[in-house]
Amino acid sequence: MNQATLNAITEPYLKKDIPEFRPGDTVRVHVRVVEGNKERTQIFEGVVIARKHGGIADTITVRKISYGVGVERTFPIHSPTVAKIEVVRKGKVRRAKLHYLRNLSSKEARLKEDMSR
Amino acid sequence: MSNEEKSPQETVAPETAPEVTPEAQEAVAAEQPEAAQTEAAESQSEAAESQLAAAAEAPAPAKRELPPPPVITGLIGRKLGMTHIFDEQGRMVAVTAVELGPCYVVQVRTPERDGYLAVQVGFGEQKRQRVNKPMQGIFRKAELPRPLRYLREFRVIEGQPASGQEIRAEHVFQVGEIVKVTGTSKGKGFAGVVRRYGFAGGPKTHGSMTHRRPLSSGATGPQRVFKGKTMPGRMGGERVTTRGLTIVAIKPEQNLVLIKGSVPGGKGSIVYVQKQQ
Repeated sequence: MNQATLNAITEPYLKKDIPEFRPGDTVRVHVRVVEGNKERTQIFEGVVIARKHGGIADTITVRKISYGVGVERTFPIHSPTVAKIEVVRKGKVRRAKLHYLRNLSSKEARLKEDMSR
Repeated sequence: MSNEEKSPQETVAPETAPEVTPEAQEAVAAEQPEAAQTEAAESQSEAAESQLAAAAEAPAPAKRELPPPPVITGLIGRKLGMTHIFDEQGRMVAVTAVELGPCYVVQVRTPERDGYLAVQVGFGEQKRQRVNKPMQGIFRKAELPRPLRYLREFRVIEGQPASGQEIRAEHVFQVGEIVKVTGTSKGKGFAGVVRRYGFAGGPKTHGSMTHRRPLSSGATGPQRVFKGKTMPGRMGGERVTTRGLTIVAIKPEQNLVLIKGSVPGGKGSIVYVQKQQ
C-alpha cells in the first residue's frame, strides 16, 4: 500500500509521450537550457548505451563522439529539462548495457541497423 | 506566519483558556454518573458509541460544536518511504513521504491546572479491546469515535484547543516551512567502532593485524577507562532528530506531507514532525 502511495506521488511527474527505444538506438535529446532569463533548446545526439529503470528516476546514458572526444551524458528522461527525445536510428545489439563501446575505436563502434523493428 | 501575527495571539491565549476549562469540567461531571451506573448501562453506552463511530466516518463528529483547530508545534505521522519529485527548475529532489495526521486532541493541558498550555494528540486507530480501562475513560471524555494508538503532547501556538478536535497537516504546516523530524533510527545490531564511531581502523596490509580493532582505550595516566569510552556495541534503534528539513508539498486529501531529504527510521515507523522553533 505504501509503494502504491509513493507511485501516486510521482505519477503526475511521469511523461507519457516518451518514444519506445532501446540501448543501441541513436536518439536526439532536446535539452532545455536556461541562460540568464532566456531559455533555449540544445540537442544532444548519440547512441543510447544504457537505460536505468526506476519510474521517475529513469535515466538513459547517451554517448557521442564530439571532435574526436567521447562525450557521455546521462539524462533523467522524466525531467522537465528534457524537452523531447527523438529516435533517429535503431541499432542491432545483443546487450542491455553497451559500456564496451567506450573501448572501441569509432570504426569498431559502428552498430548495425535493426531493420526488424 | 510572521512574528507580528503570532505575538498578539499568544497574549490572547491565556484569556481564552479559562473559557475552555469550565466546559471540560462539565464534561467530566457529565461522565461521572455514567461511570457509576451498572455494567448493562455501560454496554449500552458502548453500543451508542459504536453507532457514534459509524456516524463519525464523516470528517467531523457533528454532535458537538468545536472551535477551529489550533496551531500546535507538531504532529505525529508515519514514514511511508522515499521517492523523488522535480521542482520548478527541473531539478530532481529526494523526498520522504510522511502520512502526517490527522491527529485528534485527547486532552488539553491548561495553565490553571497543569501550568502550561498544550494539547495531547493521538494518531492511528487502536482496537478498543487493546486499550485498558483508564485510557478508555480518557478517550471517552474526549468523545472520540475510537481509541488512538500513539499519543504525544504538543504546545499550542495559537487558537483555542478543545478535546476531540481534528488537527490535520495543513492546519499546522505550510509548504516551504523548516521542520525537525524525530524518529527511531533503524537498528544496526552489534557494530564495531569503525562503523559505530567512525574510527579509521588500522592498515589492511603490510603485515598489519589490527584491521578494525578499537586499539587504545585511553592514556596510562588515570589507570582506568573513562565512562562513555567509545567501544563496540549496539548501534541504531535510538531516538534521532533531524533538524532543518523543508516541507516540499502537502497533500491534504491523502494526509501526505513530502519532506525534502531523509528522515530517521524505517518505513512504517512513527515520526514526530515539529516546527523548528
